[in-house]
Amino acid sequence: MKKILQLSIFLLLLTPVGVFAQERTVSGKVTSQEDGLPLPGVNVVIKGTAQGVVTDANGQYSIPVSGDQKLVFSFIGFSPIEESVGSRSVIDVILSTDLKMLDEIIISGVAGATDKKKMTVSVTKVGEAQLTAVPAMSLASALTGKVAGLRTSSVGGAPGQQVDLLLRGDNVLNVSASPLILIDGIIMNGSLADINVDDVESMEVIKGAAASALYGSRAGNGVIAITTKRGKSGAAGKPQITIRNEFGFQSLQQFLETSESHMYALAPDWEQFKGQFTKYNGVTFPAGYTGGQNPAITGSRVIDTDGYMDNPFGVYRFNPADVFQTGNSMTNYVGIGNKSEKNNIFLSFENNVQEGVVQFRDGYSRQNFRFNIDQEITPWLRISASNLFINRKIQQPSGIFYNVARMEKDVDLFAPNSDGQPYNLRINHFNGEVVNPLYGLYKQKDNRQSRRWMGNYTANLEFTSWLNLDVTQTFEIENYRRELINPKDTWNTQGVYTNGGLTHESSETSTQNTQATFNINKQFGDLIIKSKLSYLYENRHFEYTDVSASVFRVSGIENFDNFSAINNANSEKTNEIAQNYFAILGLDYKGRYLFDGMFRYDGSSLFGPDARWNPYYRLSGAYRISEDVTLPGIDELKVRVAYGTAGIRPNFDWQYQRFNLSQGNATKAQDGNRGLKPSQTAETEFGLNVDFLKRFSFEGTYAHSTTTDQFLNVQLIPFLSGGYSNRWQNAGTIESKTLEFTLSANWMKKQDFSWSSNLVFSRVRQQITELPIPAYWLEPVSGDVTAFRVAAGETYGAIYGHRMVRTLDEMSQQLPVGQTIGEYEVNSEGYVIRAGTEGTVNERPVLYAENGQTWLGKIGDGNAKFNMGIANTFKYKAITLYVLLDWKNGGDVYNSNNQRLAFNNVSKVQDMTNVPDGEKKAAAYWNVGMYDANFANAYWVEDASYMKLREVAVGYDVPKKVLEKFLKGSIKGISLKAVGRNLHTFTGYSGYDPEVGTVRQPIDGIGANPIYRNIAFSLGFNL
Amino acid sequence: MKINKFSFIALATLGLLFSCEDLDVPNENTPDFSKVLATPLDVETVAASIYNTVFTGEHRLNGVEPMLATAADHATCSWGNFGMRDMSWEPRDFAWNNTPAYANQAQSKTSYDRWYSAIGSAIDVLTAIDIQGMDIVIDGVDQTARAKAFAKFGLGVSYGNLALVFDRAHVVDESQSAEGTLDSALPYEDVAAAAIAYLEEALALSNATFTIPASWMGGPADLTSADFRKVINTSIARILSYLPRNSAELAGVDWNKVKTHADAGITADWIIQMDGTTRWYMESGDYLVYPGWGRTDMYVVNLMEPSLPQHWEDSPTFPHPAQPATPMDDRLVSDFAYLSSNDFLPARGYYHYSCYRLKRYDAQYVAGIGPKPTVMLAENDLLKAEARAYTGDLAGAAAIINAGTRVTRGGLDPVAANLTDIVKAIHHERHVELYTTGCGIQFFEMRKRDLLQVGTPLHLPVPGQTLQLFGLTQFYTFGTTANADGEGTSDGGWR
Repeated sequence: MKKILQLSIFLLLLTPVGVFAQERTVSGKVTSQEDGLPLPGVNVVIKGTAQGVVTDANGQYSIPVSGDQKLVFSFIGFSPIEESVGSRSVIDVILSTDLKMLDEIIISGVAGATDKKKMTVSVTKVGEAQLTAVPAMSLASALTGKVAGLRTSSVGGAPGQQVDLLLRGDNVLNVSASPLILIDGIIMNGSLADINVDDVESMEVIKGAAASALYGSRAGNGVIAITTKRGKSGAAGKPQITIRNEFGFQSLQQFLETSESHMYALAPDWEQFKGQFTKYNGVTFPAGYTGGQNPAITGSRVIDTDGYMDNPFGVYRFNPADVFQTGNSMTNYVGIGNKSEKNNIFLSFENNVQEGVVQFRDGYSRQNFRFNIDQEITPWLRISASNLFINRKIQQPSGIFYNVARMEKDVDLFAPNSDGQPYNLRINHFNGEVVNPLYGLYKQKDNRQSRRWMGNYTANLEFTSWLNLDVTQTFEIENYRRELINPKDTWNTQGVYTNGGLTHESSETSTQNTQATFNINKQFGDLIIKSKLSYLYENRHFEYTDVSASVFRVSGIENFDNFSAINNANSEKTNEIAQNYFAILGLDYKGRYLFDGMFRYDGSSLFGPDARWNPYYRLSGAYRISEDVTLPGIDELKVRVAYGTAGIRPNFDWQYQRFNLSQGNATKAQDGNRGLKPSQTAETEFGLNVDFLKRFSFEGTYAHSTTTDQFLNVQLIPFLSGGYSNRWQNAGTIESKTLEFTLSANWMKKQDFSWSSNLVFSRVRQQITELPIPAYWLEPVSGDVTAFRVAAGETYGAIYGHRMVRTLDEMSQQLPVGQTIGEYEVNSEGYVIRAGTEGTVNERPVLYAENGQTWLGKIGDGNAKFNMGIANTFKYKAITLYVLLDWKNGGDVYNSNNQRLAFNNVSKVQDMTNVPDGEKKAAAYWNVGMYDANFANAYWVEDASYMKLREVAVGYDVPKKVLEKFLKGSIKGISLKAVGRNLHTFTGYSGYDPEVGTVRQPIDGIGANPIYRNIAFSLGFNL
Repeated sequence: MKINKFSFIALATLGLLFSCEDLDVPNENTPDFSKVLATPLDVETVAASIYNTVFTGEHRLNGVEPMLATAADHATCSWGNFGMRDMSWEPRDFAWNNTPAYANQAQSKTSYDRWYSAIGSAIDVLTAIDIQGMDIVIDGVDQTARAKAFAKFGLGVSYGNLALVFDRAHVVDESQSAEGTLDSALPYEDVAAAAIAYLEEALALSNATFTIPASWMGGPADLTSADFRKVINTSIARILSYLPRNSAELAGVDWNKVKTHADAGITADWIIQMDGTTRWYMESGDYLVYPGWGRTDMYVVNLMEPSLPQHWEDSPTFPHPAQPATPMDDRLVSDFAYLSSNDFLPARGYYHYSCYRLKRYDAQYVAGIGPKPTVMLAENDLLKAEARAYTGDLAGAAAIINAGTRVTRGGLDPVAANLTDIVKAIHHERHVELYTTGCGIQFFEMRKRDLLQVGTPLHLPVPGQTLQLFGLTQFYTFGTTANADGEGTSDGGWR
C-alpha cells in the first residue's frame, strides 16, 4: 500500500509549486534507506517558505536557493530530514521509513491518501503493532477494546464463531447492524473469523454514516477496511521471511456453579446407599441400581416437607470437567515478502487449529494461503493482485452449556446404554427431558467445511501526472458443505433406536465486482485538490441446497442410497445486481482549511422497482487551528464537522410478493412492495483533535444520527389481505448519539524503557423515536425467551417483561378482593409475599399489576453506560509487556439460562446447602414464583458490567548482537512471546460470561457459549 | 515490454461498457400471484396446497392442539411449552393470556392464521374460476369441478375449525369481504353455518367424477370424488356435533343432519401419510405422547380402568398407582404403556402426574414417517351413533358402538341401549380410541357435556395480535373461575 501512496503523492506533487528567485541551484537524489532505490514524489521545501519541488521518477530534484537556507525533505511514510544547504550544490538524501507515520495515513472513505491530521471525518486506523501485540485468533476479535465507538460481543464464543461488531449506535431494525467489511478492496461476504491477523498491515474503521457515506447503500452501519501486507518493506532483492509458531491451551474461565443439593425427600435408609445412588422416599429401586432411567423403578420422588434444596445426593458423580476439556490451540504461520525495482510480492500460509473445550468435537481449523503482488508493466501501467484462499473445518456443538448445567449432581455420565453403547442417554430417571450431554457429542457426527477464495485484480493507468485510472475486478467465492449424521443405532428417549438420519447442506456464495475509478490529484498554489470519480458494479449470487432423510436401512452405510425415501430437499437461489456511481472532492488549502464533499447514486436489484435508485452525500470540513495560532503545549489542534448519509439494503426477498412452495404446492405468504428502498441514516458529527505536550494525542467525537425508512415487517389482517401474512415497508426512525474519544500517551521513551498507553472510550445512546406499527419482540438470539422489545419512544435494546411487587404500597394497589394489606409482608429479598409464608413452601412473589392487568414494561437495558479499552505497552530492553483491559460499564444481560435452571431446580440461587436455618427458602419460591412461566421477568435481569483482561503478552526479542553471532547472522530476529486472551473477567454477573448474546440482544440462553480463555506461547523468526 | 498506452486504455474502457445490466432480478425461489394463478395448472397448484395449510393449523405444535388436549384433561404435561400448562392449571384460574406481547400468543394465532391462509388460497382459486372465468383444463381434461370442489372444501373445513376453536370469526370469500373490526366478526354459530354451506357446495360439486391426488390430502392413495364426498360428509357431521359450548347448546344440535352426513361419511380411516418432514407431520400428537413430554391424563386412564384414580391429587403423599393386572379396557395394555414413576417436575403440581402414556403410534413417531389417522373411521361411527342416540334410535346407536372399537379393540362389554350408557360409551371411545387423532376432539367432547373443569375457556378469543391490527388496545379473553359463565368459560366440570 505504501507504494500506492508513493505513487499518489508523486502524482499529486509532480507539478512544481512555484517559481523562485534564482541565485543558485541545489540538486540531488533522494533514496530509500531500506532498499537504496530512488524515491519519487518526495517533497523538497525551503524551510520557512512555501517554495518547494518534488523529486522525479528517478528520485532527482533540483531547487533554486538563496544563501544558507535549510531544505526539508518529507514524504508520507518516511521520517522527514532537514539539511542546511551551506555552500553545497549537490545534496543527496537517504530517507528512512517511519512506521508510526504510516499509521497516520488514511486511505478509506476519503478522496485520496490523507494524513490523519487532515481528516475531516472519523476514521480510526489500527496498525500492525496494535494487531500483533497479541495476535488475535482471527480478525473478528482483533479490534475489541482498540477502537472508540466500536462495541463487540462474542455471540457464540466457540472457536471460529463470528464476533458481533457494532460501530456507534444500532440504527437499524430487523437487519444486521454489522459494518461493511472490505479486505484489500473486496466487499466481503464471508466470515471475518476466518481471516488471519498475521497478514494484516492495518485496519481502518470508518465510523458512522458521515464518514462511510462514500460506500452508500451498504454503509449505514459503518465500514471496516482491511489492508494486507504486500512485501514492500525491506531491502530490494532480499526476501523477508517471517515464521511464527504458537501453541496454546483453551479452557473455560470457570465452570458454572449449580446446586449441590436437592429438595426431594430422602428415604429413611438413604445413607445405606450412599455411593450408589440417591434413594428417594416413596420410590422402590431395583437391586444393584446405580443411576439413570430404569423401568423397574416404581414410585416418584416427592418434594420434602420444607421444600428446601438442602438434601444431599446419595452420590456426587457429576463433574463438568467430564464434558469440558482443556483444548489445544495452534497457529503456524510463514510469510515471505520480496521486492525489486519493479515489483513486490507477498506470500503467506497460516494453519490455525482451535480444539475448543467440548469433548468429542475437534473444534475449528483453517488454512489460509495468500499471494499478493504489485507489478510495474510500463511506467504508466501497474497491476496489482491480492489472493486469499481459505480452507476451513468446523465441528461445534450447540446448546451444550445449558444441557450440562441441568445435570443433577448424582448423574453418571459414563454409565452405558442397555446395548453397551457408552453414555447412557436417559441419565435422570425422574426427568425425561434431560439427557446425557456426552451421548449426543459421542454419537452424532456434524462436520462443516468451507473453501473460500477472495481476489482483487487491479490495473492502474497513469494518464498524466495528476490523473490516473484504477480498474479493479474483485471476487469472493465460498463453497460450504455440512454433513450431519445420526447413526442408525442412535438411541432416543423412548428407549428405541431412531434408525438414524442424514442431512447434507451445501451452498455457494459468489461475488464479482467491477470498479473503475479516476483519481485526480492536483495542486494549485496553496490549494491541493484530490478527487475520485468512480463506477462500481456489483454482482452477487447465492445458492443453497439441503437434503435430508431418515431411517437408514443398513447399519454403517451413511449415504442417501441407504434410505427408502428422501424426506426433504430444499434449494434456494438469490442474485443481486447493483450499480453505483460516486464522486468525491477533497480540498486542502494551506494544509489547514480542509473540505470534503461527495455524492453517490446507488441502484440495486434489492430495492423495489419503484425505488431503484437512491442518493447519498457528504459535506465535511476541518480547521487546523494550530497551523494559524500557536498555543503553549499544543502541538496540533483541529476541529471538524461532517454531515453525511448512508443506507442499508433490504434483504433479498422482501420486495417480492411470495407464495411459499413446498412439494410443489403453493401457499400464500408475503405481499410484495414495489417501493421498498434502503434505510437511510443521516449523521452529523463534530470532532476535536488535540496533540499536546509532545506526548499525548486526543481525539473526541460527538455524532448524532437519525435513521429513517426502517424495514418493518407489517403484519396484515389475514381476511383482508387475501391470506398474505405480512408485508415489508419502510417506516420508523431510530436516533442515536455517540460520544467517543481516544487518548494516546507516550509516558516515557528512554533507551532502555518505554511506556505507552492507548485509551478508547465510547458512550452510545439510541432510541426508537418513531414506530408506526405495534410494538414487537425481537426474535431471540440464543435463548428461548423473548425479552427485547421494539417500541416507539423506547431505548433500542430495552428489555421488557414482568416484575414482582416490591413494596406494600404497590401491593395495596392490587389487593385481591377481600384481602387486606396486613396479609402481606416484604421478604428478605425485598419482594412482597403473603404474610407468614417466608421460608415455607408457600412463599411466592406476586406479579406486579396495573389496572388489573399483569404489568409489562421495561425491566432492563442491554446498552452499556460506556465502553472503554485501556492498552498499556511497557518495554524494558528486549522485554515487552502488553496488557489490554476491556471495560463495559453497565448494560444488562437477560439471564434466561438461570431462569431455566431455577425451573430445573438446579440453580445456585436455590441451593440452601450452606444457608443457615431461618434464612432458607423453598425451591418453589423460584421454580414457580420467580420462574414466571418462563416469561421475561425483572428478577432475571442482571447487570453485566465487566472488566476483561482481554489481551496480555510478555515478549522477548533476542538482541541483534546475539543473532549476528549465530548462523552467520541469517536469522534477523527471534521473538518469544507468552500471550493470554480473555484471561480473566472481573464481573458480578452470575453466569458463565457477561459477554454473551449479541450487542443488540445480550441474552444468556440455551444456545449461549462462553468465550474461552486461551494461554499460548509463540516463537517467531525473521529471516 | 512494449504496450501502446492508448490502445490499452481504449480496450479497458470498452471492457467497462458491458456493465449497464438491468437491475430487475427475478425471485427464483418463490412465485408471486401472477405466476401462481396465471394458468390452469398454476391454479391447481394453489388448490393442491389448501388442505395441507388447514392440516398444519390443526396439528402444528405451535397451534391450538396441545393446549386443547391438556385443557380437556385428555393429555397432561407440566411443561410450559405450547400453552399446555396455561390451559391446565388447577384450579383453572389462569385466563388465556390474549395480550399481543404474551409469549404463547402464537399458539392461537398460528392456527387462526393458517386457516385464514387456506381461506385466502381457496378464494384465489374460486376467483380464477368464478370471477375470471378460467376453466381448469389439465392435459385436455376439464378439472374445474375438482379445483372448485376442493376450494369449497378448504373454505368449509377452515371456517369449521375457526367456529370450533374461536368465539367468532370474519367470513369472507370470493364474493364477500369483511371490515377489519371486531364488530364485523360473526359469532361461532354463524361461522359454522357458513362452513357447512361451503361444504355442501363442495358436496354438490363432487357429484362430478374426478380424482383428488394423494398429495392434496396427504393420504396414502388418490381419492375418488365419491370418497371425497365421504370426507366432506364426515367434516360436516364433525362441525355440527362438536360445535356446542355447553349442554344446552348440545340439545339444540340438528342431529338428523348429523346422521345424514355421518351416514354418508368415511368408510375407512382418513389417513395422513406422515413423510418425515414438517409438511405432513402430526407434530402435536408426537409431543403429546413423547417420553418426557405428554402423558395420558388420569381422567382417561380411569375410564379404561376404574380402579385407577381419576385424578392425581396435588399431594406428595398421593401413592403411585400399581399397574392393574387385567384392566377393564384391553387398550390400556395394547395402546398405552404403564409408567412406574413420573418425570415431571413435582414443583409444577403433582396433579400433572400420570402413570400411563400412549404408545400406539410410537413406530410412526420414531422418525415421523408412516400412516396416522387424522379422522378415524371410529370417529365417524361415533358420530353416527351419537346422532342416532339423540334422535331416539338407541338400539341403532348401541349396535354401531358394539360393532366398533369399544368391543373389537377394547374388549369392553357391549353397551346397553340407553342414552346415558351410550353417551358414556361415546365419551369413552373419543378419549381412548381417538387419542391424538383430530385436533381438539376431546376438548369439544368435554365442552359440550359441561365437563371442562370450571374456569376453563370454552373457546379462544380472536388472537390479540389480530385485535391489535384492528386498532384495539383491550384484548378480551376467556377463563378463570371468576368468569365462569358457561358461555365463554366453563362453569361446569367433571370435578
